[in-house]
Order: sequence, then structure tokens, then C-alpha cells
Amino acid sequence: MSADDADTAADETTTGGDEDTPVLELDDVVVHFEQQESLVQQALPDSVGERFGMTEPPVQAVNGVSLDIEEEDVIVLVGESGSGKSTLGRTAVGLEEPTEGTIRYRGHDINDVRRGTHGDQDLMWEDVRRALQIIHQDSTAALNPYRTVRAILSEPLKLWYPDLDMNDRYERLTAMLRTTGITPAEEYLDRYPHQLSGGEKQRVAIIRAMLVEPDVILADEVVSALDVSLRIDIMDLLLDLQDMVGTSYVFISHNLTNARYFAEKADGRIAVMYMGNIVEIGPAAEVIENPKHPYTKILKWASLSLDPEEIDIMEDSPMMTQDAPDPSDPPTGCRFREACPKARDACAEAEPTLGSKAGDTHVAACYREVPDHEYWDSNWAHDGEEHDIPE
Amino acid sequence: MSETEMRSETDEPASDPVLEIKNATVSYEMSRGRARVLNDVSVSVERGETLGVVGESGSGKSIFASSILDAVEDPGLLEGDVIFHPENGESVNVPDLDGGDLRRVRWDEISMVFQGAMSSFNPTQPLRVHFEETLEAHNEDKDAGMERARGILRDLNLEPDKVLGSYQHTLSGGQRQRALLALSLLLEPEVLVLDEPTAALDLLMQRTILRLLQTVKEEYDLTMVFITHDLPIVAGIADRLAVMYAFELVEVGETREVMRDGSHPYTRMLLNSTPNFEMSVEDINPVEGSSPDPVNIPVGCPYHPRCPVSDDRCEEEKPALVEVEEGHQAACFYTDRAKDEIEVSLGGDGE
Repeated sequence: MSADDADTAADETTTGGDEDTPVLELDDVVVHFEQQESLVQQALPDSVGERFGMTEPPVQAVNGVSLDIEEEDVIVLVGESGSGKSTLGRTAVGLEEPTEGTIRYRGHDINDVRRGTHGDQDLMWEDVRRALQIIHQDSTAALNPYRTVRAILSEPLKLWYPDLDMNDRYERLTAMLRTTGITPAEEYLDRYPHQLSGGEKQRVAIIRAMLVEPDVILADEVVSALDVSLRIDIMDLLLDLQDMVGTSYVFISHNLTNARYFAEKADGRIAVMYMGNIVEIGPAAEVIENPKHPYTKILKWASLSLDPEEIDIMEDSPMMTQDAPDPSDPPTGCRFREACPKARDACAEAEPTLGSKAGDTHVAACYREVPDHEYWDSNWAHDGEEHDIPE
Repeated sequence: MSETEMRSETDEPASDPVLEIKNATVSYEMSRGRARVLNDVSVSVERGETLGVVGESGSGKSIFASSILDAVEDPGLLEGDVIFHPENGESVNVPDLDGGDLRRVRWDEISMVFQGAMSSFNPTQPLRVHFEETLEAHNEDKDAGMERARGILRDLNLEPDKVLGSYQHTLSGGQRQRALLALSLLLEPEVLVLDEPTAALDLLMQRTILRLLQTVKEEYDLTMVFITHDLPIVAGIADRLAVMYAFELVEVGETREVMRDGSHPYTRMLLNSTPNFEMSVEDINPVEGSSPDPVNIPVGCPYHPRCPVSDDRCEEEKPALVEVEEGHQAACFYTDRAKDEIEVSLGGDGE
């Protein structure tokens, strides 16, 4: 562990790269998981093993995603289980290696940095690790139960800022705790995680990630396990800290109302994911108020209103199939077409891409966005007719 | 009807409660003092209705659910009455029952679906075994019972034989939750108590489960008590809402009235703290402060330290749950002030 190197580099606020280079650039990132290498699968009983043979093709978790994350940017990845949002997030911050494509941190391919083959000796892998942090959904599992809050929070400071003495660390910790609404700070420092509430634990996990002043934080479902009434509190805290520390967020959520709050308040973007693809991306308010992709419209329909007058719980689901396709054998063409109430035969032919004309900030990967596409002349795919998506 | 004298005087003549919870209190002796985790809760559940019980973690809502089945974990002590009026037969006070009588009421008459279906099935046995053992334990005919199970599974959009032959880990979260729901309906209960049944499910599956719940409720003439921290989840399915704060009920009324014209400051602030599409992001605000520790509940109104309309009276005197309109109760001295000062801008009609 070369703490000295890390310190030197960490003291320089930016390491290479000019003003216009995004903090993180994802370029056509593909992540496949080989099924036969999965330990989980080996541990499963035979009934499961039979269903997935040893020769099964890999699960296509992320299917060619390009995305730029700028300074103090907020991007919210929305999708259901299996949409690839967590895999994409983890790959973006260097926790998974992409099968294909590149991730550049301030212009440097992080896989080259990881292997030390990038040629720029000012930037070490430790710097990338410090710059890209993660906050998990389960703060109970993320915090060591045998250590006090003081020990948990001192660790990153000792590692990345070895010049700080005990008093300096104490000052930083108490200041941070006070800022985040954990008072009296002195008292909390001596507590163990089990003596904290769910919201307080999540705050400690957030502070731990923030103490090293990262450039990008992956916040993976950080509010979904919390009470609804606490979610706003935690999201506000993240936004306040963004103002202080100047970090960017990749915020993952399966809940569209949380996504809207976080992204809209930060003036950020929402990216909707389905089976490894971003199917729609744009400024938060636009994606919510004027969704383009049928899947986004369906997610909006499924989000329950706070107004009881607006909810008809007996309304049929607009999804044409209930079960998601097999991620190791996705449908040809548009991956959503089997479930899509707006699918036509042309959707089976080629996979639609996020078409973007210059200046377009809100785009969707759907042929309905292309006025002169052959889609419009082909037949409806489900029962030969169009199906509605209720508001 | 011999149970007439058991009913409270304030009941409407048309009232036909299937459950009457009266002064239910649950307490634990702790080294730090006596903790009241349910404090003098009284509420009736009408036959055939869905009652939504809403509250934060640590508001006592899960203890309330356990109390209905007299299933409070040791060393918790339940005081008060939970009177169950079956459709046919004699009314019983659930806490007075034991042994076989209690078992007959639990699951046979009042069934429960807990959150976390993941841990509800034994991972080493196919689901069929759970259904068969449930029938055996309650002395039901196995063939007729399994036939019923298949029907219920079909009603829940599952393939009966496939699901019954599966182990829990081979099912998706949504399938598992529906299988658990089928198991809870197996003995044809009159009342179904659901504790966060859609937690941890994806949006679309959550919506599907809610629709299925409404369908089976009508199909099997159920009464439902639906417990959640997530208001929008019950808004579309509950006839009435009961809002809990600090181990007590603070507001009870028809869903529409409680959500659009809530009387208790907490109810109004809870609405404003729920992420939604209807309000502008600036109007969505957290409820500042935190809910009280059960050994250290504030004197007077338990909500006063967080309440923007509280005054000296709230710090000394505890407001009772009283009728503010017909069929709508709230525990607050200043319901008018709450409505004036805490704006809830749903649908932008400024109601």
C-alpha cells in the first residue's frame, strides 16, 4: 500500500486533463458475465444447474453504453432488477471490468491505469480509487459492526491523508457530522453502528465516502431501504454535500419518483435502462413530463400517485408480457419489443439506438422517434393492433 | 347477536366490524425503562374493507399487526382487547385464546403476509410441502385443499404445478411474494393482515401485486389490513387510512379525506415528504427531526417537538383521538391551524 504516493497525488486537485474533458467517459461499454464461472451457480442445487447448462451463452448485463459524466454532474440510472443499472454503475467507478469498451477518468483509460500501462506516471490507480467512491444500499452491511463511528470514519482519512494528526482528523469528522445533521457529533463518534438508526447509518456511510473528496460517487439504491419520509432527507444531504465537496453522482434507483426528485433538484439527467441499454436519457423534468420511450411511459404509469383520485388500481398493465426476456438470449431487434404495446414488426429487425442530432439533450432508443422509419409502415406486432399506455 | 354489548357506543348503526381493537397496549421491560411500543390503540376494521395503516419505522405499525394475531414476541406484553367477529359463529377476544383455539383463529380466520417473502419459505423444500403441511396442521382435507391452492395460484397469475414443484430460490421476487400470498389464503381466512407486502419489489411487479390483491379481496370476500410506510402504495387500495406516530394512532378516516384534507399536522407533513410527481420538487420537504424513542416519548402531544403549529398546550396536555368530521378522527388540538399553515399542494387545486 503506497500511502505516500496516494497522498502526493491526492493533494493535487486535478491530475491531468483539461477543462473540457469529462470526469468520466464511458465509451460503448459492454459487460458480459460468464455463467459457468459463477460461484453462485456452482453452489446452486441440480434443479437450477439443469436449467442453465454449462454451455449457456453469457448474460449480457450491459450492452454498449456511452455516457459522459461532467464536473458536478448528476445522472440517475432508473430501471428494474436485471436492467443492468448496478452493473453499469459499478463498471463506471472501476469495480467491474468492462468486457468491451473503455472508461476514461479525466482522459485516462482506467483499465490502463489499473495495469500501469497508461504512460502517465502522475496518475496512479490509488488516485482513481480515491476519486471514484461508492455508497451502498445496505448501510448495515457496509459498516463494520465492531468499530466505532470514529474508527470507521478515521480509516479513509488515515489512508488518503496521512499528514493529518489525530486532532486534525477529529476536527474534520466532527465538522462533517455537524454538517450532515448528526448531533451531538462528539457523542456519535463513540457509538457503534447498531446504536444508530437506519437513517443515521446511511449518513455515516455517506460521510465516509465524502471525506476523501471524490470526483464521482456511485450511490446505489441508497434510499430505497429507508422509510419514505427519510428519503428526501438523505437525498437533500447528498445534494448539500455536492455543493460543499463538488462531486458528481451516479445515482441508481428503481423508483421513478425518487429519481425525479434527485435529478430534478440537482438539475441533472435521468437515464432509463432496460436489459443492458439506456433506452431514454434527458433532463429530469423532460423525461418525467414528456417521456418518449414506451418503457419510460410504462414506468411512469406504474409509479403510484400521491393523489388517490388519480389511481385506478384495477387498470390492466400495459406490458404485453409479464416475464422479462432471458438476458443470455435477448430478442432480436429492440429488446423491449415483446413487452411493448407499441411494437410493430419492424422492431424485430435491428436494435434501435439513442439517435442524437446535434443539440438534442433528450433522446430515446425507439423507432417512434424517427419520423420516416419503416416502422410506421409495418404491422402492429401484438394481435395486429395498437395497444394503449395509460397516463 | 350476543356481542352487541361488546361494541362501542360511538359505532354507526350500519357498522359491521370484523375486528375491534380496543385500548391495545404493548410494552417491554428494558434496562433503560419500560418501553411502550403500542400505546392505547383503538380502531375497528369493518367487514370487507381495506384499512391502510401508515407510519414510519419505529411508529409501532408492525407491533400493531402482531397484536391483531396476539403474536407479539416475548417478552412483549399485550394488554387490551382484539375482538374478532366471525361471519358465522361467536365473537372471541383473541388475547384470551390459547392453544388450539388461538391456532384456529390464526391462519384459519386471520391470516398474515409478512415482508420479506425470501425468508418465509424453507429453502430445502419445494413449495408444495409448505401448502401440504399447512393443511395438515389445520386438519384440512389435503386433496380438496391442494385443489384450492391451485385455484388461488391461478388467480394470482402463477402456473400452479410449476410453482408447487419449485424451491423458493428458483422463483423471482414477485413470484415468491404471490406464492406466499396464496399460502396465506389457503385456509380461506376472513381477514388478511399484510405487512409491507410489496417492499423490495420492482415498480411494475408492485403494481401487479396491488391489482391482484384487490382482485383476490373481491373474489374471496376478504377484509384487509395493509401496513406500510409508503403512502402511495395504499392510496389506491385502502378504503380508510390509519396514520400512526410514536406508537399511537394520530388520524383515522377515509383515504380520500385523509390524503387530500388531512387534519393532523403529521399526516400533512408525511404527504409533503413523500417523493411524487404531483408536487414541484421545492414543495417536497422532509419531516424535520426524528421519531421518539419508546422509552422517552415526549410529554403532551408526542408530535409537538416536530410540529410547526404546536404551542404550550401541546407540551403539557395530550390530545385524544377525537372525531373531527363524521367518520374522521384526529389527535390534535389545532386541526384548523394545521390545514391553514401546512399546505399540501396535491393536484394543484389548493384544496
